[in-house]
Amino acid sequence: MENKEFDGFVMPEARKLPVFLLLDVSTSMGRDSKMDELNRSVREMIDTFRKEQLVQVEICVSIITFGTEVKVHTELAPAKDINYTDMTAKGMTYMGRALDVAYDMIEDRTKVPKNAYRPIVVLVSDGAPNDDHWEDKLIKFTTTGRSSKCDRWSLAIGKDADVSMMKRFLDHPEKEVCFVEDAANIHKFFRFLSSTTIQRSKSANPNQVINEFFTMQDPIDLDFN
Amino acid sequence: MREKDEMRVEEIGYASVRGLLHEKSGLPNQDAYSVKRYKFGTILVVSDGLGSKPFSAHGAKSVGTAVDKAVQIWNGYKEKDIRLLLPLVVSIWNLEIFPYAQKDCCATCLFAIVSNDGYVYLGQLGDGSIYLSLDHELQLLKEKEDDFTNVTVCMGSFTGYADWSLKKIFVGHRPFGMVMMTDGVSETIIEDRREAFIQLLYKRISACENLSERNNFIYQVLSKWNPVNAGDDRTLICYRRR
Repeated sequence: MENKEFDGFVMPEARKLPVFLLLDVSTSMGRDSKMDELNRSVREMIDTFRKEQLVQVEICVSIITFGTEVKVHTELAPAKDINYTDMTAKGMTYMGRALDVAYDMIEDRTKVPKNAYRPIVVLVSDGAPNDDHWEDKLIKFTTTGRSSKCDRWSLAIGKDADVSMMKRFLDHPEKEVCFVEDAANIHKFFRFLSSTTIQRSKSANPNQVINEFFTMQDPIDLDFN
Repeated sequence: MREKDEMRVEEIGYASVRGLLHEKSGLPNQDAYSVKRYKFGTILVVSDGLGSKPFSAHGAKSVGTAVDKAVQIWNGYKEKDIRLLLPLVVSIWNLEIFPYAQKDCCATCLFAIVSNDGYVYLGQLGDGSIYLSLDHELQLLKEKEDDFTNVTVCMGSFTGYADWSLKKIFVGHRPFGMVMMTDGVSETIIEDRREAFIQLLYKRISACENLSERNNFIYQVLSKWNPVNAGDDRTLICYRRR
């Protein structure tokens, strides 16, 4: 057999494991060092992904921020290629629009190819959405299209966070909203998220969301509501 | 396997290799295949056991046995409606996996029956691909959906016969070819290069002298897969009738 004649038929890139971060950057996130801590935590998570020497899986990250303006802060790209710039807090909490932007990105097969592993979508907020029709957009995101099949997590920061809304964002009835009382613990959630993502990427079937993750009992001093 | 039957020559090569992610996790190859030739025709099966299930390797192996036994019963009847084969396959698979539970043995089921009555019967439950080349046309039994949206359809979890893709094709005495593969192969081939890949397989298979050479050739192709896309188990059967 001429060994090289079959080389050109196999995809040269590893399959993607996309991670979408939907991050609240409303004015309230600028208080009590929450935004500073969020920036540090996201940066650390991307660094962790970058350092992992994965061959068969490419962890890709996209960041969508929502204040009054909804912005694709980071286009979906391999973690190793991301040059992270800090987010700043400003404005209202237009989460519904952010869900629409994320929905469209996940539907786009040029960004999330057909052979991508099940994407992870993370919602982080310290408040409640206040744009029009956010509830319809949440229902659309969680019940239709490809986003409805994603592995979805949420982090509520502080007592003003709308935990019941964030519970509706999750993809499994046994999953719980992760809750941190203050900014100092945000990094714990992101370390937990980094760890579960890397575990998935190294598992025999990276599409599989491991059930133990749903019922993990306070693995890193996070509160689950 | 090269058999002459009047004007026909059947050439078949097949192999399966363990994925790198399974090697790292200490898991066995959870794919399986079965190739059987009878007076009434040839039965080809590939199956991919779901990585997360404890006995999926056993489930995948049982798929080959179940299809083989079911076809032999089904073939004894005059009515060759392929839908009537499915309950037999499922029932025998349940017997084969016993005492394990269905949910612990989940596996896909892709089969082809090349019958001497001039028909080819194809069936697929779950991921993977069956390509059939006839009269210079390449047909794909089932178009793939998103990988992460349809991971649960397999033996042991399917909800009805609508989950199956089925086809009956009259080939008569014409030459034709088929390639059956688990998703470790089908989902890692560049989409617009699939036909060229299949044509090259046919060409190389026909150049081999015997079954051992053909199987070794397929094994080499699968073993030398680009490492970045070699995480999953890979199984392929190439069939050609000239």
